[in-house]
Amino acid sequence: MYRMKAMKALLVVTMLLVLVAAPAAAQDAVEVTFMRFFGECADEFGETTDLSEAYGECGIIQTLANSFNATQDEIHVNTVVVDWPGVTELNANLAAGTPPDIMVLHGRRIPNYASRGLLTPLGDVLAGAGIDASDLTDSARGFVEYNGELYGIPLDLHGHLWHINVGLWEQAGLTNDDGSPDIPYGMDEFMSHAETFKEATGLPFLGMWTNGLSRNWMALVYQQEGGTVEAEDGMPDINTEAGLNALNFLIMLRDEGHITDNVDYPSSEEIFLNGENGGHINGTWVVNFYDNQVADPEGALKNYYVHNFPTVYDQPAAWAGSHAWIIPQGDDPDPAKLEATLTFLNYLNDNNIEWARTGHSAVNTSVVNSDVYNEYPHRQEYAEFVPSAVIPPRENWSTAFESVMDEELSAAMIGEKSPEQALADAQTRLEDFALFE
Amino acid sequence: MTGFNVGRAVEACLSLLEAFDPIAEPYRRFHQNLPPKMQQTVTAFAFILPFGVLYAIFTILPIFQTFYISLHKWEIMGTNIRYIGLKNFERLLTRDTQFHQAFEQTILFVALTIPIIFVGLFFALMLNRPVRGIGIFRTIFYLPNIIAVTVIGLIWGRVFASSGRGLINAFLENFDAGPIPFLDQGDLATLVVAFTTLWWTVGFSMLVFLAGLQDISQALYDAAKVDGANSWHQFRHITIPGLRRPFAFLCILQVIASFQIFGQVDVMTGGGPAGNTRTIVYNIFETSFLYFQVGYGTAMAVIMFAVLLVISLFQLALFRDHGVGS
Repeated sequence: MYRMKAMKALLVVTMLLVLVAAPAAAQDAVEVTFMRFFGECADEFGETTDLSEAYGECGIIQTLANSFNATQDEIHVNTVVVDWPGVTELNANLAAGTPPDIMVLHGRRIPNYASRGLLTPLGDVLAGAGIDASDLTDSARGFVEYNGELYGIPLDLHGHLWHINVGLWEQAGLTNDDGSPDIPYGMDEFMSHAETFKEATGLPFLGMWTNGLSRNWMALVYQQEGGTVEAEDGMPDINTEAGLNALNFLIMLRDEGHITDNVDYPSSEEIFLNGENGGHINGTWVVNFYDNQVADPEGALKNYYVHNFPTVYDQPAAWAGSHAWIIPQGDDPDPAKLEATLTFLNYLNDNNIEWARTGHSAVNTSVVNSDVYNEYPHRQEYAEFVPSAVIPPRENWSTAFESVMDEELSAAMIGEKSPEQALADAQTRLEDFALFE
Repeated sequence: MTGFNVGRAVEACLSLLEAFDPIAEPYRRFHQNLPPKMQQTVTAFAFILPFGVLYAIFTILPIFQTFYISLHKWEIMGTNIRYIGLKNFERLLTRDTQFHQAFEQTILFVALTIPIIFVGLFFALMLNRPVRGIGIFRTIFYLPNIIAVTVIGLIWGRVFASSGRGLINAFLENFDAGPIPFLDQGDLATLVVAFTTLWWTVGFSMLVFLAGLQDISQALYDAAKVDGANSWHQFRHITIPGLRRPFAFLCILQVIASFQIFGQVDVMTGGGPAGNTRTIVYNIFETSFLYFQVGYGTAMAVIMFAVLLVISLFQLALFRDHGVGS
């Protein structure tokens, strides 16, 4: 009996301690859980509320959340940073019935979630929150629509570009009179430039990272007349002549020493920034970051230019994607929380021009047509990106498209499989994925 | 504000304790009326019961649940659940080349990490000496084992990074050598992951062997010395037989642990390059969490469970034949 009393006393004391130590819970502000990737930068931007001081994806998105919290006190946005692409965390939270209130998701994944009833349809609630969906560009809107309903608000249209070290191009005599790089068009010009560059500098002409191969390969497929990765019936169409041409082109570049491949993302970026190749295929998301690198007196990149993805076949084409804000549907949606979340969403959408400073293309027509947007550094150098953007298929098998293709293309690039075998295997694997019920 | 309420939780705990009050006295009377032998048995079961209940809920039940889910199309978010019989297993065994490759890769990985046991034995022998400060060395050798796999993966991933970012390649650059694509060439990446696993887990093998070595009576060595046995003979005829139990224990655990490798692969290679380091558990993770197909992923888990069960039973039988466990 004495022990029982002692145990009860201990539990009561513990309870009191926990309650005293816990932060005051009785706050009026509605808490909004904001789940995102783009990295962790609380050290540098954790307290920043002035958007003009922020740069880079992480800095700008962190500052947007900070500034929203600073400008009002009815809603408090609590940022939860997850690993890219955030799907594992989202799925686990959905399974547990505790999804975040708002999250960034790649637009191509929206059909997967919307078709399962896991996202809040936004068509009827946006106007009430002050968001004008008619201002969205058609290309961006396409990413967040499913069966005619809006399931997200796009944040950007992004894709692969050609980042160029102009200093090295100049050394190779590949610049125009005005100092801009002499951009090659078509296979012959491209190979001629690559040879000239290698002879003059001893360095590879181009760099890319292994796990981004599928995106570059896909762009090269779509650059060919009739090239596609999706058949008319919606099934994968990988093992094609265009697919083989594109893969053989990449292998030829590797064999002739024109690309630095077989490296991971950070390494490929470091190689470019260290001036160890003439160019680098990477996304719109690094334009602002690379531009800032030029200002670094100790940096090897002194003169930076960015162009659309190289056109080596019949027409321009570049892989593209979109980041979008989604509101996952929990088991028991709270109207007050939804209203607060939409207020935050409205704030993010209103500041779309700030996000576009990263290098991504804006998604609101009013922003795209604005002078401020068009005068952002380097923006005009890749103005043709949006018209040439090619988005991955929006079928059930697109979930596995990038990982399967990256794997099979890598196998061909490192010589473990013939190009024909790699594409045949990719076709089989994706078909199996598509057909499995 | 919703969510976890500490006050209510404490109240619930107190209520739970009080709930036992009415049955305490009847139980005491029931217990006293039992024959002495039965009293012991009932007491033992009473002590085991709380653990047994939790074990059944959190271990036994999920095993049966795994079998159940594997017979369904079942998505991670609990959506689109449909009974499909053995279709998951049919796809797995007949068409899924990725699973077949992952299975082969796992077997290779198991083979590469078996030497951990012998390295652990070597370290244990080195550290089983009456030397001043030996405790410090034992701690140092065991230390990696208490570090989280994420940290281990990040550290060694950085050491073996394929470009000049990697510690080894940065060093090689000073001699105009390299870079060696440690994590971007299939065979090399497999070796790097195996090496990382060895570095991380060898401390545990060492600890078990060390305990085994200290369990062997010194009198046996003294008697052998009197009979003229040299060090090799002592090792061969006293140490090795004395370590049969720890050896059997580690063999079984090592094979199971190697089959279940996930963290190192996830952090260091993500299953690449070209799927060369994708193991079964990583494949299960990808299938279940990234491709939504939990039903299919659990079918893979069932296959792995069956394989591990057979291997473990075979190992137990083998060791029993050699006098371990009798």
